[in-house]
Amino acid sequence: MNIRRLIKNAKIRTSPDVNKAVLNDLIDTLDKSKNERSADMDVWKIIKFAAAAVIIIVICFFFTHHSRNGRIETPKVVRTSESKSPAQLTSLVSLNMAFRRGGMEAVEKQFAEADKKVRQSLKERITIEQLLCELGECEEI
Amino acid sequence: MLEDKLLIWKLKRGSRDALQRIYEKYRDDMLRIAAGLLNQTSSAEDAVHDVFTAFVCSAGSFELTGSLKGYLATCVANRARNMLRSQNRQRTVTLGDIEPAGSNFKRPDQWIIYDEQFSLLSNALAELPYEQKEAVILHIQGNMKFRDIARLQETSIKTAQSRYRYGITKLRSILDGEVPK
Repeated sequence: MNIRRLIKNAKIRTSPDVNKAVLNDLIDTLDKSKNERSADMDVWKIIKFAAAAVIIIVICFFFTHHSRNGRIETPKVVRTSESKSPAQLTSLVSLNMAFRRGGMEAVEKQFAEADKKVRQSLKERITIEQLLCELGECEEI
Repeated sequence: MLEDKLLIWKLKRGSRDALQRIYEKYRDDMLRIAAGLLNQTSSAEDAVHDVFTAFVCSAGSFELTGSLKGYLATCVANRARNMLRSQNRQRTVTLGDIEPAGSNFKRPDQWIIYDEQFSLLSNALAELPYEQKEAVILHIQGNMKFRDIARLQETSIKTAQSRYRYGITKLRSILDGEVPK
């Protein structure tokens, strides 16, 4: 006897009325779970929207409180030697600080900078007459 | 397989037609498995109803990895086990309350109507140990692989195969005297 075939071929019939009743019951369950799922989806949408709104508000708050005249403030650069006059650069205190900061190299650099500034100021102030005088042309004029 | 995937996809979007198709496609197979495992008509009907209801409720998050029939058969087998366990715990049911599968008694709201061959088979299956019966029914009626049966029974594949073999041998010896060759 082929047991396998016997089990395969063993059929059952089902009551059509009960089939229909069970199917209707399942369809009701499906509709209910669908509604619940859509309600859950709505809640998630609200949560996502709220989260996005909070992020935007935080970004706006950051920009308004950390900027002035619509521009984000950048940290101020402390300009030490460039803003000082040649006299200040060559003062004893300034040279002493430069030595402490970087040794003789810093002192030399500071002198070079003072020299450069003096030269620049000389160039700016010199007139044509003075230049001619320096070249020995004063008497001719 | 491809049709099942499509049906699941539609069911996830709330399609009633997909649900109807799945239900009509697998209803009889699941009822046969449940009736074979539980050997009790009303419990088998309840088990299949519960499985389909749970399946519909979880349809939104359901991901089909294997065959849908295998999945539903596993659900029916698990449900049948739970029902048997709870029946064993309660032990308040008298023998008169139990309505064996294949009996001539028919309730007005009875879902399963047995033919003679199924009644014979069901009575023979009732004599098998539960694990053997499960292995035989799930392999032949549920088209499940021994690997999946072993996973369900939390045992090795060899053991599941042995259970199936012993079950078939015992069924043959029971039915040999009852069914004409």
